[in-house]
Amino acid sequence: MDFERFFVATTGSGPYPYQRDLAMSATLPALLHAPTGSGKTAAVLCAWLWRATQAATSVRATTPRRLVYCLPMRSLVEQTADVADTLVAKLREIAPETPVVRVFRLLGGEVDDAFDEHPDELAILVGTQDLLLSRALNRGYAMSRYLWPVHFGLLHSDALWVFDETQLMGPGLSTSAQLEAFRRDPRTPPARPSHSLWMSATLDDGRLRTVDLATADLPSLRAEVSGCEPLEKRWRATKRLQRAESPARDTKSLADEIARVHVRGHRTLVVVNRVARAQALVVALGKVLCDVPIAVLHSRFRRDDRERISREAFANNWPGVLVATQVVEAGVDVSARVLFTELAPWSSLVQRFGRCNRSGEHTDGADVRWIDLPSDDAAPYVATDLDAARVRLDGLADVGIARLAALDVERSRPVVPVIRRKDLLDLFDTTPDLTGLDVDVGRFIRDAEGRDVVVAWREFGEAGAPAERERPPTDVETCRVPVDALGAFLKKAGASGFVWRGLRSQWGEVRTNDARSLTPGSLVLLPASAGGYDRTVGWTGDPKHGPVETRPQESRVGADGDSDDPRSESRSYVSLARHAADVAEEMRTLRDRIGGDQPWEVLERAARWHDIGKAHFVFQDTMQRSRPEGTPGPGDGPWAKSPGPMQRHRRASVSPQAVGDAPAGQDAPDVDRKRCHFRHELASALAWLAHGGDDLGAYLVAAHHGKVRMSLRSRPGETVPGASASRSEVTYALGVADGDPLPACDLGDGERSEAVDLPLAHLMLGGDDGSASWTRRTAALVEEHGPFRLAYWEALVRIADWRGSARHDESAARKVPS
Amino acid sequence: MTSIELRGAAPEPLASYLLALGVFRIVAEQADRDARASWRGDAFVLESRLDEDALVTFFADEYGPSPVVAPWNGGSGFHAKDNREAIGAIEASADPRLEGYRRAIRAARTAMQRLGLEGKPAGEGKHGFLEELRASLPDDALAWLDAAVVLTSESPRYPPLLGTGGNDGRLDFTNNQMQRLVAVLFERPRETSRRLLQAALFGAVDVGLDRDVAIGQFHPAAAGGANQGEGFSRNSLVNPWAFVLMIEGALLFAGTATRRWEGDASRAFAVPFTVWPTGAGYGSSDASDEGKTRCETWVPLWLHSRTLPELRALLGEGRATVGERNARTGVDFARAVATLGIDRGVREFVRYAFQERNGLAYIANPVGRWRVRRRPDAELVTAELDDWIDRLRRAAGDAPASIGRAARAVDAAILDLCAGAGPSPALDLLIALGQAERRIAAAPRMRESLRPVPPLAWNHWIPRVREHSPEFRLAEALASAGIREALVPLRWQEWWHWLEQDDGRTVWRAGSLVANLLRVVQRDEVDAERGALPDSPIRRLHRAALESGERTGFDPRVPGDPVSVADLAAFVRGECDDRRLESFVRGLSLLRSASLVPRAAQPDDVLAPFPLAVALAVHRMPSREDAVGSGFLRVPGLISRLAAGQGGAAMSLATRRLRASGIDPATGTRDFAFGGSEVVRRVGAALAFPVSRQSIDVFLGKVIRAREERPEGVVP
Repeated sequence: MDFERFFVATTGSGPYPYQRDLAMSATLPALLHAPTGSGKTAAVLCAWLWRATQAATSVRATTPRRLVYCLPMRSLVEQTADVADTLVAKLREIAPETPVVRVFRLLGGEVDDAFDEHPDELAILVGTQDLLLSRALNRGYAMSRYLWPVHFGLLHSDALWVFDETQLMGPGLSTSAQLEAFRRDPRTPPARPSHSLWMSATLDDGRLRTVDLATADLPSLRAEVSGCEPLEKRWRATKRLQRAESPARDTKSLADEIARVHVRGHRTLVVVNRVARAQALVVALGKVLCDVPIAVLHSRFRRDDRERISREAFANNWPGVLVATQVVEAGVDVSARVLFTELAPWSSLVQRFGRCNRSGEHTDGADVRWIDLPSDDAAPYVATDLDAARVRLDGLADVGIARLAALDVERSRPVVPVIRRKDLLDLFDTTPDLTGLDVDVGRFIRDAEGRDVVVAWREFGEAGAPAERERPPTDVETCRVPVDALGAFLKKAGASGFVWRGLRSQWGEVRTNDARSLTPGSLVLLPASAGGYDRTVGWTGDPKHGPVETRPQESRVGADGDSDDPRSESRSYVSLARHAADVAEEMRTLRDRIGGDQPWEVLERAARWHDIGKAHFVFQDTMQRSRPEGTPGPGDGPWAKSPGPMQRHRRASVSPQAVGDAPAGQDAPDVDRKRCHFRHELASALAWLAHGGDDLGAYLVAAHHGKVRMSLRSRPGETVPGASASRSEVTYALGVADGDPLPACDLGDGERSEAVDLPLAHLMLGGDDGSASWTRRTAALVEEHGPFRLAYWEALVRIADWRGSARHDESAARKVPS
Repeated sequence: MTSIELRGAAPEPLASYLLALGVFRIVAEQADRDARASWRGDAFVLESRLDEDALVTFFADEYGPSPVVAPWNGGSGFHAKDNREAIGAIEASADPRLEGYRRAIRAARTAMQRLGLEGKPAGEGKHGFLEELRASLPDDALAWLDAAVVLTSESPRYPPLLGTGGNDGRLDFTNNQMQRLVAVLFERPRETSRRLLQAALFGAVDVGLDRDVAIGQFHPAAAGGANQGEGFSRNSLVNPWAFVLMIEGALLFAGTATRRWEGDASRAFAVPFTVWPTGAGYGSSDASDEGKTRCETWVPLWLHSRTLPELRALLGEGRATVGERNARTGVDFARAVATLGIDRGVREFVRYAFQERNGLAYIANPVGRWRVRRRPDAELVTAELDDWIDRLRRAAGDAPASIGRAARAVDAAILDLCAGAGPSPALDLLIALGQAERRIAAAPRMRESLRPVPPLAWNHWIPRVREHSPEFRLAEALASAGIREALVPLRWQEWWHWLEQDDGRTVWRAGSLVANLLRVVQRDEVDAERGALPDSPIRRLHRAALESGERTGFDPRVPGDPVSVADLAAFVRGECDDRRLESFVRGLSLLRSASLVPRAAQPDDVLAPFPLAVALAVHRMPSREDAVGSGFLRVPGLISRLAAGQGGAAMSLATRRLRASGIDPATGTRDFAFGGSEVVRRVGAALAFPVSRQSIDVFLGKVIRAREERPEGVVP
């Protein structure tokens, strides 16, 4: 199928020339300049779909499997994902034989992360910059920390990153540029080709010229207007500009002016810079406009309320006054007869003007009035940006696209902070911080002002706190609130909030003083009785507005406690030999489907050996003990999987009876704690090394649950296994002691291991004899392969393990796709 | 591999430590990637392909200095009024060794132009400039920037090791570094430079030192004494090579990204092994030290030879944890060392306090060595207690001086505990906690912000604090129930709470132990007369003691560890150290659920003072109506007579009471002298202690036996 037909069949109309160029060019551009309304979403989605499924084999082979569509706002994610869904469905209709293309949404409160199971399939990931960039920095928000490296691996290799509405990305744009630069750096290449494409109506590439991308080749493609009727009409639409008559900060007189200028039967849009001003203005308008619908829209609404208001106020021919904040600057297809806007940075103003007489429908022109702001009231922007914009506005009488295009574009600079290569290398290490503190990469993702937490209101009943089993909410019932505002609200309301601690699957109390230290994106439950929210004006932070009508909707996102990988668990007994063979075979399947130049031999061998540490007596003993009473034993071992949850590990030589007899309420005997941190994957890696395996394989084996990676360290509370004083000098970590025996094992397909004593000591500390410590080995691996490739290979081993584990799991919810 | 000892390096002073790190870093980065280094004792050993000669030649001819620039500082060489000779010389030179330096200077100047800076930036502009620099300096210049400045969303912060963003008072490290580099690379004759280098590395005799060149905080020159580092031997006489290598070493103290951006930023330093100061644990330390000390940095002497990536991992992470959080203070750090909350590859830490000098600059004073060794006692500081102590420290800031002293005493005791110093550091800590609670109780304002000491687990503490002395046993008995309510105004309601309104039961005042114990006994007497408070803790305790012989098994709710007659006798005779006894009582009263198993009554064939026997026999003898239980036989007026020191009057009351019970005491009042009035009062105070039924029987027996021994005993 040629692209023309493909485009018509999927979108219902023919492509503009630039849309065709994007799909047909030999290589994709890095920048796409396309004016608002020129169909760039469809352009990108169709270009990738066509290149990945319809184009010549050579093009298909070099097209990344994952399209990662990164957007600055949640509402844009929903719209874009809907478009993607439609296009993919159409594609299946017209070409049923094309490979499956899945669409995944990653947006606050509801994260569909299952893309990480299908590195070998085509997928479109649409997400917010918070969720996607945090994952690209190996510190993914709203996910298990043990999966960070998997997402990091899959998002840097075999990925086409598309950044849309880039003018709203803040420092996230600099981060996206630096990440592209790192991937282009021969010292840190991705495992498979990746590419970045930045799109905007207003983008000048100065913001992308970060220190490491300063001189890189960034080819661009510009959407031409001429010859394309709808675009030309937009291009020529008239938008008369004048300064608003009312003085700055006089809400009442502004409301009067709006009422005066509003044209009956048409929409008026008022864009202000801050939520509080929008809310105040709506109140004032309500007093002067009696028979005209009034609505307010900003970022501080629950999704259901925002959708309700959007549906109403964005409807064609809605004749009311909509007061909004920057949320209408991007991606919202709404047009007004009259536009009021507060002074804002030039790029924001350009976006706002685009919401007036958008497609030239008011042939006699439309009106724009701008509201001046004093320099001390510039927040959330900086005064100098506003000053510059004011100078430009003063000389303009019309702000139609054609007029604006004639203006000089100022050359801009990358937004700071800018992430550096050494930071990325540091972030590759995800060793859990024993103190529970996590790195906040937020400053590289968006502006500090945008640091929000996600709140929802629930009825707590008499306890005054969420029930232990209270599940976290979905984004339907959540609202974004600035971290600082939450603290102030809790103080005013005299209430406590409760933050979701995903690792422990618990709610933790948040008081006024704790609020500031919440990490952005934290999920906080508030008592409905505390108020602070109104369904028509959104978050106010005023306890008077309440009690809040609740609409509990429990998240289907599971808990991600510090437990084992749920996906590598099984529901039946599987022997180590069987599992080793299964996972090795899954790796061969991945090799056949992904192909290319990867260290497949090591990968397959690591897949086969990854669980050999389970032959360790601690693990086998725990498995025996975990057997529900009365169920038949599995017979000969060693076993890799057993049905049901595993109990905690402990030292094997203490009989369960003796431990069970410890008086309630007292500490269990010391011996019990000694191996509770047992990690079989460390034993596996030691066995691998003892059999002469290389460092890369050892790393991949060790990392297969995301818990043993760059460094080896014992956990607090871990003491010498073996208890006897004579062994007090023995080295131990994660439940494994130096010299622990591991029996000979059958690893399937005729491969066997020897019995070995696990050589931990030198691996922990290094030796004076020059033997290399784990840290030295892993540091060398990162230097040799770079973080992107290591993480990708790490992900492949884990995915092969998940797939191998699911084979014997007849009732498993997650099915391996055929 | 050749092993060479850098005799110019040493754990102390800090300058010599940093020099060691600097040499190692440069060799590993520029000469031999496989180089390793270790501390053997106090000797720093470098293993690489370079022998001593080759090492000198490498530094003299090949070494490319790390770009160290601080254009945000006045005096950095970037601004009009600065000394610009060295920076000018570097920019003008074509020496390939300085290419990286020149690139960094160019990038810094470009950043200044971009922001339109014409001088040193001030206020908000400085933050913006620093962000711009971090966004645009070459990669190899970031190590210095990150070591000198930590950028967060809020204002920039300055790791103390490099002063305030790379200067220390008026001394700008970067300009000095450039001057020293120009001196050793260009100005000095090659041979002189080599000799200086030899001196810096191997401690050969110094030649041609730069006179009157400041070294800054890395060397406490004023202290004058310890001259371990050969390169830094006298005040104001600095070997330029030693200075250069010291700065190169300081760059290793840039925290990793993980460390810099973790959430706890407000309360901890974002640089490795650096914590808030604790003005305790070294000679001459006191409160004023804390005020003048900016921070502490604990530098590690590691075991086994390490490669640079391994050392970077150790330093970059700089992890020291106590329980589940990062160490924040010197005390925390000591606890981390004692509970193995640090990398186990470290043998020892040198503790440096950055203390103010001349009101402007700081010096890094070495204030102790800490061997990494697990000390189970350190685990007595549980998370709960730790939290309380932390609040105490914070409250001490604007509290009466006595609270500050109490808080420091607690810190000093914890440091001793972690160092394994002193005969019984755990007991000292317990006592310090008891004193702290006493001070808080005495300052009503403090009670708002500080709760009472949380209950401490008896079974964790007693084995570690138990002392074989009468004072300890007596205190244990008193503390084992309820005495805490008499000591400090708090009551137990599922937890300890400060008492809102005085109910008269907290009778302890300033004054002697005896006077206070008498108050306890008298208060109890008043309650008994009123028939009030049948369950007063003291009486509960006494009753329990009486029953103790009949108790079997363990019941945590029943307190009462009776004292032996011998210990009580020692108390009455004034053979105990009352102050020590009282401090034990305060400390031990903090333990929860006191007695597990009553000690068997000791054989009491000891010589108890007869008046004590009589008083106790009378006071504790169960009343006839209620043999064991709700009350004792009271002798109205007995306590007040004892308290007043009136021995004769007390004795006559007692004997009358005994006779009324059908016991004819051995002698009449005239036969006994009570000794001085102090002994009489002590007998009264002794009534506060719990005694067992067996002991009472012993006392009664004594009284009766005395009667039976009379030649013609007639019982009426």
